[in-house]
This record gives sequence, C-alpha cells and structure tokens, in this order.
Amino acid sequence: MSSIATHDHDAVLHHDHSHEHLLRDSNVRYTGGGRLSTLFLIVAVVGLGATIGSAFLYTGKLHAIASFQMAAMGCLAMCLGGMFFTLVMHLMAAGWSITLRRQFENLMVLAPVMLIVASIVPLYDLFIGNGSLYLWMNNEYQSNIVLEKKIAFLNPSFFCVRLMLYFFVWTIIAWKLSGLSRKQDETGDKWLSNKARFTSSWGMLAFALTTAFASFDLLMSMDFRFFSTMWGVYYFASTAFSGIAALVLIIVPLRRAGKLEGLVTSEHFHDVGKLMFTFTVFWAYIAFSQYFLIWYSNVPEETVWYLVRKRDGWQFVFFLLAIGHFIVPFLILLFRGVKRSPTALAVVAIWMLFIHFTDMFFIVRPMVTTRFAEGTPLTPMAGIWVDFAAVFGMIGLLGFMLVRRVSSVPLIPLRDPRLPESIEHKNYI
Amino acid sequence: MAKQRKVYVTESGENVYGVIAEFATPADVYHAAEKVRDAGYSQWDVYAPFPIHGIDEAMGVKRTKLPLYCALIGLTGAGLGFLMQYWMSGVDYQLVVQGKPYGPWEPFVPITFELGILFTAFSTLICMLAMNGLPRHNHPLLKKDRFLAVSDDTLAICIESTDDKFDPDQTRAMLERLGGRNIDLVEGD
Repeated sequence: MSSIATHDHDAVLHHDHSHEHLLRDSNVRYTGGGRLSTLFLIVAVVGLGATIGSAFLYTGKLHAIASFQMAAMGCLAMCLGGMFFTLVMHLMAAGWSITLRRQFENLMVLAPVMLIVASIVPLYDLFIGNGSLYLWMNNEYQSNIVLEKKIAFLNPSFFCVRLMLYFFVWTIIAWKLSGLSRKQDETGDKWLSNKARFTSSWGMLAFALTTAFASFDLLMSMDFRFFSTMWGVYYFASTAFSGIAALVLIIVPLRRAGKLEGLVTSEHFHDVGKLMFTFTVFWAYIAFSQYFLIWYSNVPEETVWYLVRKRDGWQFVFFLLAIGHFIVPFLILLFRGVKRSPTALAVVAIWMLFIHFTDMFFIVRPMVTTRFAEGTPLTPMAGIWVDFAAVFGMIGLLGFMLVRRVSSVPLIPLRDPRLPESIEHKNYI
Repeated sequence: MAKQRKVYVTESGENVYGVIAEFATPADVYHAAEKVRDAGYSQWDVYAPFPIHGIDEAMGVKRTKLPLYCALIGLTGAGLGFLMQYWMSGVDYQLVVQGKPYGPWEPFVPITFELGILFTAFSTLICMLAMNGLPRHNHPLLKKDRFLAVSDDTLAICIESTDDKFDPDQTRAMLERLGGRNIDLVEGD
C-alpha cells in the first residue's frame, strides 16, 4: 500500500544486486600510481638527502638529527592513527566506515616501517652519537641525580627491548588485521569480521600501552628531567588527529581520479569531518590539560620544559599551536558545508598536517641548544629549511610506500558483510 | 517590504486559520506534500502520529538557523566569561596567587569554556522554543475534533491562511485534487 515502505523494502532485499556495479574494478582498484610514487621517491631522496647533507653545513649535526626525528615522529603518528581507527572501527562494529577502512589499514601496515625509521636516531645516539639529542644517553649526564633515579627505565638495554616490543606488537596487529581483511576480499567469509573484532579487543589495549610508552621513549625522554603523565595521551591525540587528516588526503585524490564513486559519498565525508573536529577538540583538551597543570603546580622539573618553549621566539610557536591546532580548525569544521565538501576537507586536512608537524617541531626542535641546561635553544626560524626538508622528505618516503600499498590492494574491503550498510550510509541531520 | 496580507473571515465572523485535509496513507501524504511544496506554499505543515522518513525533504523544509544562533550566543558567553574573570582578578581586585601574574589567561580557560557551554545550552532551548512559537496554551487546530485523531490514526495537511498563496477556494480545490478527504476550514486567529 505505502510506496515509501515498499521502496525501502526493495532496497533491503536487493542490496547485492543494486551495488554490484559499484564494485567494478575500475572503481575499486587504483593502478595509475607509478608516476606518483616516483615523484614521492624523488621528494624523499631530495628532502632526506638535504637533511643529512645539512649535518655537514653550518646548521650542524644536532639540528639535522632533530629535524629527522621530528619528521619521523610526525609520520609515525599518521600510521598509528590509521591503526587506531582500524581498531576502533572493528571494536565498535562500525558499519558506515567500511568503505574507508582499507585506507586506514594501508596507513596501519606502515607503522612498523615508520617505527624503524624513527628508531634510527635514538639507536645512532645510543651507539655512535653519544646522546646528542637523547640526553640520557650522553656520558656527561650519567651521574646526574635526576637520571640516576630513572636509570631502571632509561637504560640502553631496556630501551632496545622496548623498541623491539613496540615493533613486535604493531607488526602483529597490522599483520593480523590487514591479513583478515584481505582474506575476506577473497573468501567473503563474514566470520572473519568477528575474528578481526576479537583481535581488536586485545589489540586496542596493546596499542594504547605501546603508543604511550613509545611516545615516552622516543619524544619525552629527549629531556630526561621532564615528565608528564599526559604525554602518552598527548601523542595519541596527535596520532588520531593526523591519521584522520591523512585519510582525507588519500581519499580525496582517489575520488578526483574517478575511484570510489558511490562508495565514498559526501555522507562519509561528513562523518570524517566530524571525526576531524572531534580530534581537534580532543588535542586541545589534552594539550591544555598538560600545560595548565604544569603551569599551576610550578614544579621546576616540569616547568623547565615549557620555560624554554616560551621564550626566544618559541612563544610564537606556542600561540601558533593554540590558534592553528585548535581555534582555526574548530571554527572551520563547525560548518556543515565544509564537512560535506571533499575539497574543503582536503584543504583543512593539509592545514592539520602542517600544524601537526608544527606540534612535533615544538616538541623536538628546542632540544637543539648550544649546550644542555645552560644553553639556549635555537630560535624557531634558525635553519628552518632543514626542518622543512626533513618533513617533506619524510612525507615523500611515507607517500612513496603508501602509494605503492594503495595501488596493490583493492580500495575497499570488497566483501565485508557491512559493505551495503556503508554504501547506504546517510546522515539524517 | 511587508506585503499586505488578505484576511479571510468565515460566515460566523471568525478569522480563517487555514484549510485542513486528511490523507489515508503515509505515501499519500508524502506525495501530496511534494505537490504542495512544488505549488510554492511555505506556511503549512504535515501532521502525523509517527515520523515519516524523508517528509522534511518532501515538504522542502529548510535547515534550521538554530545552530547559528547557538554558536553566536555561545561565543558571546565564552567571551563574557573571559572578560568577567579578567576584570575581577586582573583589574578590580588584584591578588597575588602562588606568585602568578595578574590576570593570566590560563586559569580562565575552564570557566570561559563552562560559560560558553552554559550560554549555548540555554540559547538552544530558548531559541528553539521562540522559533517554534512555544509555549502556547491553545492552537486553532485543536478545536477540530477530527484533528485530534492525528495522534492516533490520521494523517493531515493544513495550509495556513498566512501563506501568500493562500486562497480558500483554490487551496481547497488543490487539496481535493491531491486526494485529501474531509477537507475543512479551520477557524482561529
């Protein structure tokens, strides 16, 4: 009787039939990545080459390795963001995001690789460089009273064991989840989704702990005097923030290339925009909470970290982060039209990645001082070309691996049982 | 430029509120709504005992301006909250607390945030009520005994006389063409 009800009923009955044409190869496979990956490789070689070369120029070795590490941690955050969203979407049995999940998986599988890249500098410091960036590795500070108290944690052998543990855990999670997803492409076995969900249950716990401790080891331990219980959450906020921005910058060019038509619609972009908004606010909340408590309690070994970052030009970076990492994306992403427009979202995502690397810059670069403790850090603009070279080079490296990965697998989980739900996804408000 | 609106009066001397028509099924009222929308009416509503998916599109309902008002009032609240604290601890009654400077922005953030939320929450409720013309004690439609069935088993469209395109005879004729039943004139302000 009711034609509305009848239409809905038909749509439910004939899901597979009506969506078959969307799953044609030209829509769900990307094969034209050859030139793009070459371009990324050139950027990587030039950028990272310039960074390494700068070690022998006036900017010096310490600046070069700090820039390299800053860029590596920024790119590692994107990959871990992909891992986080894959895990959380499996855990929540999310239906709307199925057509996006493969790109999160593509980011996720690169996390162990980026960890290796991010381990180069600490391992160099540990075995060759005598702790130039990671000061607890420096012989000069071995008798430091603060370091002596932390020696049970901050010692070379335990540090190496932890790095291996992160590598092991992230490899297992990435290998299991992407493996199950790829297997489902072939077999179409719906129960593989349940297996992925089970993997995500312990995987989320392992991810949370390893990400937090990796951020302690790879970022916070640079200045061994400093400690913040917020640090793990702070870096996690950055991973989700940059991961969702990276997703937009993968999906939007694919849509431009005529892929994923009817699979990723403005409804999906709307929800991705909401997640971008969410993690903008979340980062601001965490960053402010960390700063606020340290500012209020005024404990010297904590405030020392912020003190060097609120003078000599670094106060401008501080306020740039407050405005650019929070207020700007917050106000822009409030608008519904922005969240539903792929182009606008891509512009916001580029800004988010820029400010994400500025955040890493703010954390790592003030470690480049004339001399630890007594020395003043370089001003933000001093030799900034090294930082830009490192960031572009590292994005080139990540982009090279990502393009190769994206063009080697289908762009969506082809036979996920929730795929029809994702295609039909609609925001009613 | 306010248009002079024609006021229609019934035989008993009451103002005409509008014309109401009943429909049998959700599909009927849905398609009738599309036609009313396409005829260019703006002051009208669909009454149903349950939500009908997509009826807002069929009616051509525009997105509400409520979020804009909430955002503006919320930002005003946040700004006022910040200024209040700055004036109190930075200007009017300066006290040294823990050796911190006068009027620092850091401790103001939580209360600025809270006042932003408070203003937004109140403005959401108050603007929503105001934009819907609520609260009100009575409604002309409630005089119709048949109308009361829209909370049970009847679907209805009522086109109001405040609409520029409203004309008692033509509007009634249109509703008849669309399959409306028990079409009736509603009296009221």
